[in-house]
Amino acid sequence: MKRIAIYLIKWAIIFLVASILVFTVVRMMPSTPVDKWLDAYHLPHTEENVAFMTQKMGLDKPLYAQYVQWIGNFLHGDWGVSLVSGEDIRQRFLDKMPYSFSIGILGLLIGAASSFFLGYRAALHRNRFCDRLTTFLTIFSQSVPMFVLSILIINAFSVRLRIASFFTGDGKYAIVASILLTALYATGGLSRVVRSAFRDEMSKSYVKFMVSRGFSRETVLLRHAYKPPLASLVSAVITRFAGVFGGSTVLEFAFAIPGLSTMLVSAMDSRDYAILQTYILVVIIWMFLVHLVLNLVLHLIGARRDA
Amino acid sequence: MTENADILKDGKMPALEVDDLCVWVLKEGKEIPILSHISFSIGEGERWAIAGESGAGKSMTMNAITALLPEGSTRISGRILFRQKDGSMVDLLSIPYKERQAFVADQVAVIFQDSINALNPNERVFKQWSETVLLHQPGLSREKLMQHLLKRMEIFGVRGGEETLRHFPDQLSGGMRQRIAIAMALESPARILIADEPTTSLDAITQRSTVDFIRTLLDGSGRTLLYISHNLGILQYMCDHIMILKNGLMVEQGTTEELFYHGKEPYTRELVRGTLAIMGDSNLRD
Amino acid sequence: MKKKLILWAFFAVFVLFLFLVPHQNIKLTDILNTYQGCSREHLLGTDNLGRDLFALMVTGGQRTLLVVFIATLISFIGGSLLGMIAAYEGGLLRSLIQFIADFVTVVPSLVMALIFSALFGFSAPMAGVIFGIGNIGQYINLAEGLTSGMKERDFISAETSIGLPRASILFLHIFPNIMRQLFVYMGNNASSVVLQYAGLAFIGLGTDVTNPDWGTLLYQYRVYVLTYPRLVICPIAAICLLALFFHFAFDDARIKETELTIYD
Repeated sequence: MKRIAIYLIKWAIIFLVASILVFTVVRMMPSTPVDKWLDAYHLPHTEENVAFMTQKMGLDKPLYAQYVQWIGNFLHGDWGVSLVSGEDIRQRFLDKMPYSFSIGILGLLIGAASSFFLGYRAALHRNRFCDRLTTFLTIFSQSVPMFVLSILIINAFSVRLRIASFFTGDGKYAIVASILLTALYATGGLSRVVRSAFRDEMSKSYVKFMVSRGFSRETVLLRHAYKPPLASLVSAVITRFAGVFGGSTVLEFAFAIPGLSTMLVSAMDSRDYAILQTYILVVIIWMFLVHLVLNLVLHLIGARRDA
Repeated sequence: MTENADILKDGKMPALEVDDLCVWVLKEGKEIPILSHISFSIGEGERWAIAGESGAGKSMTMNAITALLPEGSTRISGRILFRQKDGSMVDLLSIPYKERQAFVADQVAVIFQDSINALNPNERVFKQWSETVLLHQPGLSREKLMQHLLKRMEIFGVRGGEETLRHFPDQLSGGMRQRIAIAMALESPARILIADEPTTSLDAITQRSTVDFIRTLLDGSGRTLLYISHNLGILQYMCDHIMILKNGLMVEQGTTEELFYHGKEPYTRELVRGTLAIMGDSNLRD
Repeated sequence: MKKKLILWAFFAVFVLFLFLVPHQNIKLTDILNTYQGCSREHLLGTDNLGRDLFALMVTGGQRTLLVVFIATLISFIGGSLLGMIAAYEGGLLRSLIQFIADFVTVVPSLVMALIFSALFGFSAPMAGVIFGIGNIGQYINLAEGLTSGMKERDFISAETSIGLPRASILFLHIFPNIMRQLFVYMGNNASSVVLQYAGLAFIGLGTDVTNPDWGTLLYQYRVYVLTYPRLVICPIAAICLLALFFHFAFDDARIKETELTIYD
């Protein structure tokens, strides 16, 4: 109970600190939301207009009141409107989320599953094909940027072979390619984590004892020693999730997928701070949910430290 | 399969016979010899000891006999013969690698050095124990299984009944875990018990009670024992035959009496003198 | 060991070369001589605007190194220090430091860098600082875990009990023992900073297109992958080789060595 309370308080503080930070940074910008709004509707920046809009947007109130109002509205589901297009921000986020989240979730799920399999094979057959493959993938994912591979994929499949078009139609190829790339890069790091956790188990007394009792080596490893490696894998996935967010930014940009990150990039280009503010909050809440679910999974796996 | 009708000197059939066993470990493309030309023959019901300093090859001998040597990084030659129920001798090394483990598990029960950590920390006692039972008696119903486990717990002095079975190993005391580990090892119908320094990680009192416990187990069942230790005091107490290894070579073998008081090799005498100096002669004869 | 020496020697030559070699003005365009091949005048040829690719690569390399240097310096020193202190002191300080670690790992550093470069303009030192802070969390966790392990060793508790000053225990006795793992992680982290920075430049928010980075070049030249592969291969090779260098230069075989088990 106490641990859950501490966990929730920690996340509440993370949310608070991040929102205050982004709020302050946005207020430090030289161009105000009022200027942006007037620009968007091609209205002159007269004193009268500015004063009217400042009051209408609530920017004449003290800063803390503005902050409280913003957070309050956000939590009630009123995420405001875009400063540039006047669209409802929440609706826009809801439209874009499926793209980004499916790339992140599916990519990592596929990556984690293949990591577990590859890591297991790599640990079992040292210096054989799977072991070398995981080493190669690790080095590969650390030295070849994702967007390089995306450029090559786009050119190979759509320009050269003409079997898939990434920028026309419903964009399904772009999404599939992004998911697979995310999975590939995740496998690079995660498979070695699984491998080394399995190697740790292999040297334990209980494994030797089980084998000597007549269980086959593979059965012991996969059916009886899987918990610690699985737990290590899930922990590693938790820490990698932020990186996946960054990675999907590059992918969405390279494949022109209309996801959250593409929206962020275009919002930044047009200095739409309202979207930026909301984006940060959404990222934090998303990370919170990811941590919550994965910590729950860790709890369910229930791997114990050594007896 | 090798037929072997050798009858030992005193007319007993050997339960386990090791013939010219050599083991090499492969490291960076080189073969390093670990054991060279080890031969011995253990009669049914005898209690043998392997003694020697650490690194002498005691555990390696045990690993070879129990098929625990990894296939990829070791090379093994010679013969390791187990006597079957019908009296024939089967060479472990003539069996394909994948099937050796299952074969050996029916021939020998093994108790390891680190028996306190011999239980899987992530599984309840019931799960690990019952799966071991099912390995030897497949298709046992749940009630029968529970009956069997409770009976075994009584024999091996594991207290707490069903409650204990529901626990994870880290919720049990070290002594309890060790007893469970030994009980699980002895679920196999094996007639040979191999104990690899089962008392090294224990304090003096638990050491003594463990040794006594193993002795009572043997006294009732007529099992053959192969006890591995560097502690000659315990060996003298437990065993009637001793072999002494040094640097992977057999130095000397014979009855405990012979080796202790009429050792031929200087190394044997040196080892015995060391033990006598520590434990005192009277203690040894006890 | 010998291989590493050669690797580092290569790197030293590379750095000297980057900062000392004379190159043309990168802003000089020459519309009449676009897509020139390699020549004495243009070592790597010219691009779609007739700019000298060699000069562009050299200046991009300088900035990439600067970013990697700043980022690793901040996260290595900051992370190791905070992690060691957290593990050694415990209590409230530890909770606070762990909160910092959690916080920076939750907010993706590439996204942060993107936002900051859009708001304040793109600059290499700023990217370095953001990546440095963004990656600090992993160092903290690693150093914390390793130090906690060390603290339980007998010689450290002996030193604590005879009253050696904290700073000397931390720096003279704990740090040398956990350094090896930290350096391996630093190498991996430096590679990932190279990639992160390239990704940031590739997206190109707030970048100065007249003063491009390897990532920016790649974005500008991506359409020429079939027609003028040289333009694409140069930045890709530079990014990959630099990342590979950091990976291998800090690689430590002794850590990876695995004991033989009954499975081998």
